[in-house]
Amino acid sequence: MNRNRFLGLAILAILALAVLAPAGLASVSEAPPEQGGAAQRAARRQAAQAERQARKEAVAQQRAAAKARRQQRVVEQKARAEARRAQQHSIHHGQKVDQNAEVSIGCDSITVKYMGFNAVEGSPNTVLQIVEMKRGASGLHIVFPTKTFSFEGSEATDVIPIAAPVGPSNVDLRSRWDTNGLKGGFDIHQSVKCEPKPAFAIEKLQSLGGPFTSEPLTGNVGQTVLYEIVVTNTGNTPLTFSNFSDAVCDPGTSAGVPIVPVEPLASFTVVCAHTITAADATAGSLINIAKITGTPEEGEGSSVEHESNQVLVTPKAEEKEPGKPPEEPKGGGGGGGNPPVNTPTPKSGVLGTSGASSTSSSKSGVLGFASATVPSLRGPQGCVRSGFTASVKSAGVKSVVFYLDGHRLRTLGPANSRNGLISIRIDVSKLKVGPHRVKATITMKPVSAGAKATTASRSLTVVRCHSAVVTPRFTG
Amino acid sequence: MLAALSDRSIRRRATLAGLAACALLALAGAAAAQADTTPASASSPPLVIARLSNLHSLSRWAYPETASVIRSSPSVRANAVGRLRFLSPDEQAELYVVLASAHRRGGQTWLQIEVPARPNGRRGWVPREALGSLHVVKSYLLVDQATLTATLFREGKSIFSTRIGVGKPSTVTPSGNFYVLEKLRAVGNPIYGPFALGTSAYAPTLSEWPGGGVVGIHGTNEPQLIPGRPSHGCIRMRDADVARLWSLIGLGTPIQIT
Repeated sequence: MNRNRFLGLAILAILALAVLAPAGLASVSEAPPEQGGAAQRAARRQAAQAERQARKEAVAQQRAAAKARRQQRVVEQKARAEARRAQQHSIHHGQKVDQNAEVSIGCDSITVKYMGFNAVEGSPNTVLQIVEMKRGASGLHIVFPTKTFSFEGSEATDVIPIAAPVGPSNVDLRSRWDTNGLKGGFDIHQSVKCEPKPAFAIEKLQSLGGPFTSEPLTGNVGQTVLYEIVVTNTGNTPLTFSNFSDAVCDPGTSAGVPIVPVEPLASFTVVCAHTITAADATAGSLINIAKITGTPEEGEGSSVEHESNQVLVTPKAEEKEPGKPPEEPKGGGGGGGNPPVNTPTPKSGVLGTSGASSTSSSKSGVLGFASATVPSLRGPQGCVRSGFTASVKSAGVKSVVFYLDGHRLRTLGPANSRNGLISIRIDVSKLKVGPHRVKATITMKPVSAGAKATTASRSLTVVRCHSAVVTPRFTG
Repeated sequence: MLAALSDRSIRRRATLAGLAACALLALAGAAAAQADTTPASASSPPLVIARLSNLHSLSRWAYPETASVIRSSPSVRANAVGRLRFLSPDEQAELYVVLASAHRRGGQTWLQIEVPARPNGRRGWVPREALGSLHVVKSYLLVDQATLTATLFREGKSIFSTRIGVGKPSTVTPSGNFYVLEKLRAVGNPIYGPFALGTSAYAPTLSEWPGGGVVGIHGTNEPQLIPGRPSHGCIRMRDADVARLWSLIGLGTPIQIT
């Protein structure tokens, strides 16, 4: 603001000087004689007035010229934008956008092939891509995730799944690149008209406590395999899923099929579990395939059924304790099996948790989980008011040290086990109302001569509650 | 004048440059925000979201394992919206209805929960290990303030229905989706009757109430006011009705108040 005021004052000063200086010069050169009088003064005034008028006209002409130039520029810009738009609208499937990109827009996907780049290590080699899809009548407006990726060579191809909805849609694709000093990009706006095309993808993953994978695993009898069946609607119409079947999932452990239609490009995950049995070990392998049916809304195509990829678990007979029969796994996903460190344990037929943390884990075997696994710590959930029992399965356990809120309580071993459980009874009547942490440091017996003993910690939170017989503090 | 014009032109260019910079910043911000919450990002594997509760025929809930921070989206970088609590205002075990899970392959699994706190209707995400195992309920309670009825559905079928008293116009019962947080045997004050259910709902107008203004479902010592709108936000039932409901309803059961 100050700068503007200063500029305004400067302009006024210049104008004043411009007006006053000639007048001054005139007054010097044409110094009136003493008796020149009023007639000469009037003439000078007229001349000055005429000069001012001329200056005003000159400024007005300059302004008019500047305005005309501006208007001309606007017209030219509009024409250029129009031409660009016309060019953008004229892009057809598979058309080369420029020497650096080739774009193909379909109902399922957009394929962009970048080429002619000379990526150099250390230089910026990035491409930013933004895709939006709009559908006029329905008001649908999908903004796809912005993608930024790097070149490694002279070419890169990117496929963006769009699953354009049934009917006409407008697709906007913007791309900007900065690769080894070459900056550029393109904007494409194109209409696509798509027919209903119900489709979905199904992928099965498994875990023995580690990350979920489609790779083969090796597990022990009694160990629980967690399965994730990831279903993605890859078509362009909502699908309602039904008839999920998976022969290997233990009864009551599968969950996650949504009851509402799944929108295009949306995913859901069905989870289930299976505890490896002696029969699986005898069979030598546990091959699992999941199946599900996706049904579109009426008039939008027919149902689709797919099988997932197969995943394989090779059971490995559990090492027996001398003089003890192998422990029978419990079915129904009720927390059976010996989950290793940080293993989500299926409980109540859904994603579960051991709520445990570990200090070490086994390193031998496939994915590091085929050796003796550390059992979970079991205890009550929710309120405890008088006392409770925390327990650990005794199979393979050398010793367990129990702690309550960091205070060591007792060390117990297999000699203290009853019904296959090493248990401790904890009285909480003298504890404060609130959460308390029970921890068990579990040392496992070495799985083979010379092997190191595995030690891990498991913990759970119990909440000491006030009596449920109270005067409520509700608003009434 | 020419100097002024050229200056204006410079300023216009500077403004345009500023706008362009803002647009770029906005684009970059949008890109960063989307990276965590949307599928099919190039830099990270897709986020697979599974719905775990439909709040009608199948719902899931869990007790907290740790006092974890509740975040606005399934990311450790997302804003904190609260913290898991172990105790309700009546010193019972706090529990959380789990709405969905989000899992990035090879990454952490997050659970979306309903947050029983003011303002009503808040939701957030916690890491999977912050909650214990999930419990399933297959029923829900529909509270209709227009007809002054409460109906308990199990697997889609009505198994119990009764007339109720709800909040006065000045102390309304909040509408929305809530759940049963605690089951209490009420003593010491006859206005609550013999049984009471604590909910995750908070009375919108009574924030200074002892306990924070929790909306309960309870009996009454004024049965003649039911059906009606006599309460301070709580849902009142005749004592026999609340005793029946108390025996039928489980912890974590969703409550839809309309």
